Amino acid sequence: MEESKLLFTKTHEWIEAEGEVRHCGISAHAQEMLGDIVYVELPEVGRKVKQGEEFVVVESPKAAADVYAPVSGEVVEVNGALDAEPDLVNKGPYTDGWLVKIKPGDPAEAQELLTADAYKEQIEE
Amino acid sequence: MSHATGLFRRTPLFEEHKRLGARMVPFAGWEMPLSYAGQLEEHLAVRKGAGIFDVSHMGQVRIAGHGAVDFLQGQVPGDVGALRPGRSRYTQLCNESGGILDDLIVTRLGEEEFFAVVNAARRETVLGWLRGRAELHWGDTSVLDESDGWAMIAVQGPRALGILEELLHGTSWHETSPFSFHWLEGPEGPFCVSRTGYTGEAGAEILCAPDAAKGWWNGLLEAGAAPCGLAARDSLRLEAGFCLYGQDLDEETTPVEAGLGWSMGWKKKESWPGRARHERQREEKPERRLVAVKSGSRRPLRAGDEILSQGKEPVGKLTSGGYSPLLECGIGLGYVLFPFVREEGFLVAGRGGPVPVSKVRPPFVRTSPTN
Repeated sequence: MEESKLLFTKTHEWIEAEGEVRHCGISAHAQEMLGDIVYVELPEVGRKVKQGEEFVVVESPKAAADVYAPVSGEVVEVNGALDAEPDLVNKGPYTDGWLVKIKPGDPAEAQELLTADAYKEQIEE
Repeated sequence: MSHATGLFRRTPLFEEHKRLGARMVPFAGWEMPLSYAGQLEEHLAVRKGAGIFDVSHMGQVRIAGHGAVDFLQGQVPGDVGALRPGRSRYTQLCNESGGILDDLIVTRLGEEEFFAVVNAARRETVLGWLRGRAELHWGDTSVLDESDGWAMIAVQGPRALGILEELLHGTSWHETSPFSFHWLEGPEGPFCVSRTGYTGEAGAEILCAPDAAKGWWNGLLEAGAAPCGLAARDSLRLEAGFCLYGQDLDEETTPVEAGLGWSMGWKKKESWPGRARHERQREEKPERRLVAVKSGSRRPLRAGDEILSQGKEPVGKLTSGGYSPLLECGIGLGYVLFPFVREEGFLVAGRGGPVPVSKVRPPFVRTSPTN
């Protein structure tokens, strides 16, 4: 996934800007702050989430971080590879380290999200 | 050793940490490296090769003068009087009710001369306590704070002693005993090699003048040791089953409760603060005791998580928790009420719900044979 084509939340999640079903995950900055990720708790497929709802937990030896749904919708797939290789989130936060695929319920919600550039500005502040 | 710069003190290796790209964090009043390449990579470097740690924040105290041996025997549970000069021992300093004020390594330098390495955050407490007690003692023992005069670098791992041999020609470090202490003369003044550490691996801690620290650090790096930060230091000590002061040990906890009875001089004649309580706990079993537990999942265990019996009654709490990179599972230390200590398994109530854990006899992992 190309970073410039992703939308970001202030809480460091990303989601693809387009598509009926969209990958989402955590930003490169977030995985760097967390350090080595050793465990990811993924939601059940079929779970309906609201924007901002905690739906994934990512854990490093030092801390556990909640990941919030970037938009409302239905979880249609989770990245099962993370069970055996949670460090994929460190190695490729925008590629093999995606967390879930979500089918957005309300396309308007994505409007509130940050572009890659706006997100970059926010974390540099 | 410290440079005064604003809120946090810096060790003489601060610039080296920056140069190596370390993430710096406040720790016990110091600005210390949390990690360089990453916690897991550093952890495995120490288990499989060699790693170095800047531990210059730790405190050094010299206890010397007429009556020093009698004085110190009356302060710590460990039998420091049985030490020959050049030997060290792990012990604790306890308050009158037997709770732990700090845990420390005591080295006998001479007949009436000892050297102690104490936790950075406990340095003032230890000094105040020992000085107060020294005033009441018949002897003429002084308690000197030498912390500003020493930098300290730990080199740990199966390759650590080989690296020392490359750097210090002439001594076969593999043949020295763990807990031996070597006072040496270098071109930049005296330095010490202490066969101690906090990772469970073979290795040493080098004590040198602050000005000499950079030379040692870079020499060790060039010899192939990986720079390691506080994060790896914590996961290594936990995997080795070592307690951490402030988490697993505190003023409310006795060494008997913490499972440190092996380090206590039960046969020595001198009393130490809390001895009567320690003896009682040893005979009657303490109300609670430290246990080491591991889970069957990759999810790290966390300090503060509640420990439940198999019947789901709360029986204690984890005081340290983490992830074992070698075992690839959650591990932790915690205190459990006495009758339950005998159980082989518990549940740990983390954020994801209760997970089954099994009791382990520490260490969690077998480490290099020389320690």
